[in-house]
Amino acid sequence: MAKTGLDGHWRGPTIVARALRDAGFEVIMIGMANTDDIVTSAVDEDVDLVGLNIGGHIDVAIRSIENVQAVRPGLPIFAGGTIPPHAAKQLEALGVEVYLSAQNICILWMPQSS
Amino acid sequence: MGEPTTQTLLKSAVEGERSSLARLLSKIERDSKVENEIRTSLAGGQATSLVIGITGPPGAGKSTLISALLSHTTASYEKTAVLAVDPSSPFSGGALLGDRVRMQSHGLGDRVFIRSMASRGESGGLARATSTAIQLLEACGWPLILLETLGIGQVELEVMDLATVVTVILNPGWGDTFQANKAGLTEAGDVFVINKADKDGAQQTRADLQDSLSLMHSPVPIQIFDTIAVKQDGVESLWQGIKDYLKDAQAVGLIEQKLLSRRRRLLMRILQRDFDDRISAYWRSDRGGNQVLSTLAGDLTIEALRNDLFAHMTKLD
Repeated sequence: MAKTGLDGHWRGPTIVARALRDAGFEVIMIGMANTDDIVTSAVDEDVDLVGLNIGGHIDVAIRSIENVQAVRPGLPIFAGGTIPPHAAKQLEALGVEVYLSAQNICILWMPQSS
Repeated sequence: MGEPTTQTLLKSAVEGERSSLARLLSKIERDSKVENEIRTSLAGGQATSLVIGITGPPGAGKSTLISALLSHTTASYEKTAVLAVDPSSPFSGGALLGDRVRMQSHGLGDRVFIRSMASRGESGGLARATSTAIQLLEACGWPLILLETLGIGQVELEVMDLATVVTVILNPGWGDTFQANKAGLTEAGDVFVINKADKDGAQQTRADLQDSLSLMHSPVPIQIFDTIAVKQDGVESLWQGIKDYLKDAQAVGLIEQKLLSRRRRLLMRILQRDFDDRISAYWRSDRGGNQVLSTLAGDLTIEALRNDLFAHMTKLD
């Protein structure tokens, strides 16, 4: 579970991580992370699922998604956060499914594992 | 394309492929048969890596201190692996492994390998798979392994069995002279750290600890270091202190003595685990299950159940 971008809002990823923990998942929090950190963690921890909290700079998230896919093809990735509409379109172009909820845009993407 | 076999993964991990090493670590955690296979494959290999145990209560700053140590350890040993254990929930079986949060952005790239491990029901402060994970990291050419326990209390000290040197991290206000003289934690350390040393009570904690350690009669002086890990303060001195300890301990033959008792305890634990596995297999088998039910109903004594278990142990695998 990683947070891309620079803001410090921890509530979202923490609540999701906690819910997963209570559902029996082992959740590795890596905190505020750059693209390399996310890729290295996904490989070294041999994860089954990557969770991204996206805020602000969408470029970091896009690069992270592309780089994780390059080293772990087919690995499911889910993401959420407050995303402006233009950024949501960029993610949609990557095959991301976009869900609208209230005033925020939430993004959830779960490609099929190969 | 099927999943590569354990032996294929092992070959490529030993050749330095990180993703194979990572996958094997998962397999070791999941399956004790794979763990045994790897242990057998690696048998005869010399334990050449230095294992530094880092232990202490929750929130003492173990992960932060490891993060601060990495630039020093990689200067001395080129590469450093970290195994960081955090607790599994006894309720859901899930875990929130947060050690990596403190260790991000070390900027050392491939020279550092960090792996989180959930304790998965083990009570010694480590995970069941930790000892085999260390053996595997050794075989894959990691010369230095920093082994971080989960946040411990007083007796979860399995780290002593695996580490060449045990570093105990405490904080100011940790306790008084009576805490410092209680059995367990203060007996297990070779090097002590008072982290967050800018907080009130650091001097008193040092005095209490010093007092207790002076009665240990260790052949090598046990030192106490003050650090403020988030600021890197005192971390270089600590690393020097660990190296000094190793040199002194080597000179008086203490390391050799420790390795021997470490191997003895490890051997004992492996045997105990194999017994545990066999007891579980018996428990799950039709015969064992029926015997257990009869015992619970009072038709069979515990002694009779035990005799039946021992008689069937070798047949269960």
